[in-house]
Amino acid sequence: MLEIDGVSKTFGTLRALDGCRFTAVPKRLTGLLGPNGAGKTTLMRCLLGLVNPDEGTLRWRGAPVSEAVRRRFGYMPEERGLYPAMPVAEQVDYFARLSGVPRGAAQAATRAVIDRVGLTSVADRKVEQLSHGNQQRVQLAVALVHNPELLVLDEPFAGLDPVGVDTLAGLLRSLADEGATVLFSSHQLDLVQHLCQDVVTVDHGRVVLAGSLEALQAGSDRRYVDVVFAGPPTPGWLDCLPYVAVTGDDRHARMVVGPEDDLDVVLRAAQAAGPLLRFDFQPPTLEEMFREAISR
Amino acid sequence: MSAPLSAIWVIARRDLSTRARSKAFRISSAVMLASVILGIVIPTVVLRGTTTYTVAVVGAADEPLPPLVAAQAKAAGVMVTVREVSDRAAGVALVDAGTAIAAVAPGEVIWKNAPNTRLAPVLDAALARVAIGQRAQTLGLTPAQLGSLVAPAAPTVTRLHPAPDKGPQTVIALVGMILLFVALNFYGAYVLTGVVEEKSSRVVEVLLARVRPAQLLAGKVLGIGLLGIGQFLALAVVGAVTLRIVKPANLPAGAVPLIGVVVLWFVLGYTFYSIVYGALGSLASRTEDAQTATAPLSAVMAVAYFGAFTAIGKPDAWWVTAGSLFPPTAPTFMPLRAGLTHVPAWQMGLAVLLMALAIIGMVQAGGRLYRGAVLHTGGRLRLRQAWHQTH
Repeated sequence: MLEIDGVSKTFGTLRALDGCRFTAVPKRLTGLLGPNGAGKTTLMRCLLGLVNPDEGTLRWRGAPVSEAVRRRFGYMPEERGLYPAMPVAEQVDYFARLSGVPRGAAQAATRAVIDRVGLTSVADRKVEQLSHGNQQRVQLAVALVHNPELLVLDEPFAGLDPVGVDTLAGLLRSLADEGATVLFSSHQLDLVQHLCQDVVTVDHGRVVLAGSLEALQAGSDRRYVDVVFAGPPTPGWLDCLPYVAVTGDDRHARMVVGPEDDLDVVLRAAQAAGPLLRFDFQPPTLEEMFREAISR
Repeated sequence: MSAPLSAIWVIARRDLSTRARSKAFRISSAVMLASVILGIVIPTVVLRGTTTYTVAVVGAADEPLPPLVAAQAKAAGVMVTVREVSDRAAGVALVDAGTAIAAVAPGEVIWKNAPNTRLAPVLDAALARVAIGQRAQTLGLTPAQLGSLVAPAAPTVTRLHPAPDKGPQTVIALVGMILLFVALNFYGAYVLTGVVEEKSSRVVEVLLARVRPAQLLAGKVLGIGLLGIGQFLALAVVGAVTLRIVKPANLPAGAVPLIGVVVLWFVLGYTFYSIVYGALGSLASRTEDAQTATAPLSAVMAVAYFGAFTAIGKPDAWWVTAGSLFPPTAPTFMPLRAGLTHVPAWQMGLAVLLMALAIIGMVQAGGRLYRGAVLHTGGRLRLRQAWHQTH
């Protein structure tokens, strides 16, 4: 388990991280969310030792993250970077060796990871000769080649076409199933909601929302009830309810209900107003929770 | 091998092999090898290239004239082949045919059209010796008396400020110093472009997630340095083999120890300057900024280079001694001093010690700059900013 405990970092007058605290666990995908400049990249760089936090501790499996521990981390930075004139296989092998993998094992690992990300046919080509999507795959192969226990990916889905997104999502899912802890940042909230079990939202260097998606949704104040009538409902039926309809026309009403509110009251009022086509209780989407969290 | 060392070695190997495979390196190596070979062969051939003159001499070998011509030519350093002919007509025929440049008969020198300015005094002197011999006989002098009469005076030579002939040493010291300066710039530029390329291609962040900045810089300096030393050794071996084959006449003594001094100062100077190059290169985000970032270094190197040129005239001046001890200028000043004058062992030792200390200091300072600057993107970073950047 990865534990981020009270991590703070100041650059000059900018408080980039302000007491960040959250955990990420094996076999689960954790999405790191936040507006631009919220501190996501700084947080990831702290994990990889590229930035030294001013305060706080990072722990992996209960022990402080040291240089030796970091050798078991894989990292894909937001600013993609490879040696343009170096062939794919040679490059992946080089990074395996830099991570301390012995020569023979590095060659085997290189072949395996190139196969896994689907680059076998271009293994001997120079990186600069590859398409953007394939360069992204090389970057991922470099992050994976030493079989890391923790995978830290900064915006891994940025710039991928829908097929590429699906492939990468499947790969991350299978890596987690094999036991890896995966932490990645993204602005694509629907994707994160679809893929991740856990989310962490950062804003102005602070963690404003962290936990499993299910628990966050269950605990949210913003749950919705959608009511759709088969015909026009009795006018003013909503007046007797204390909830605000957030959207709606005459046949459709959406209401925000709190966790302590009684749904039976709403249902009875709706049934009394006319024949129902649909009566739906919905948790908030990740996007809604995100917007609410960063607007606080 | 421990993990940090093995990472340095992995980095060094990549930098070495990438550079060694590059077209630029192969071409420059070929050019340098060719220059060394031609630089030794051409002067040797040119210096040796004095023509051998064939001179027809009337008379057999037991007569005085032929051996006298040969002896006079040898004394004057003119290569002459003496061809004995039986009479004047045979000599004239050889000169007319162009087989001989001149013919010498008793009391006469025969030229085809004009006397050769180098050869004429030699032949005249030979005839004069014959004439002197004949007059001595007329006067009744014994050969011993004649010998003492014409014996050279052998005057005592007094040199008010004696100094050995430093011509050849000056050339070697100068060539060594220039080669060293070129090599320092060449390999320093490799380190510089290596650092800037890694920064501009952003691969540096991927690297630094695995290794420390100091390891990255050390690996780069080591790999490119080994390449440079390898190239230097190849040049030295080719140079030595060429010297053995063509055997130049006036190879000065002390050339080989001097090559050793040049190699020593290449290693020290390269280590020192390449770390500075790497650290300053990390301030630039793009190749275009690299020149600006290393401008202060170029200025220091120019001082070291032109200062060394000025030092050729007065290698014993106090400021030359100071320059040969001061680490940034020592790599060019010290080999020059070693070639031109006597350098006390303690000064050589002190210079190496100071340089070693400077390198250690530069590793600390350069490593800090590199660490502060290498992850900074978007324009050139100022020295002061990088120094105070704490990641």
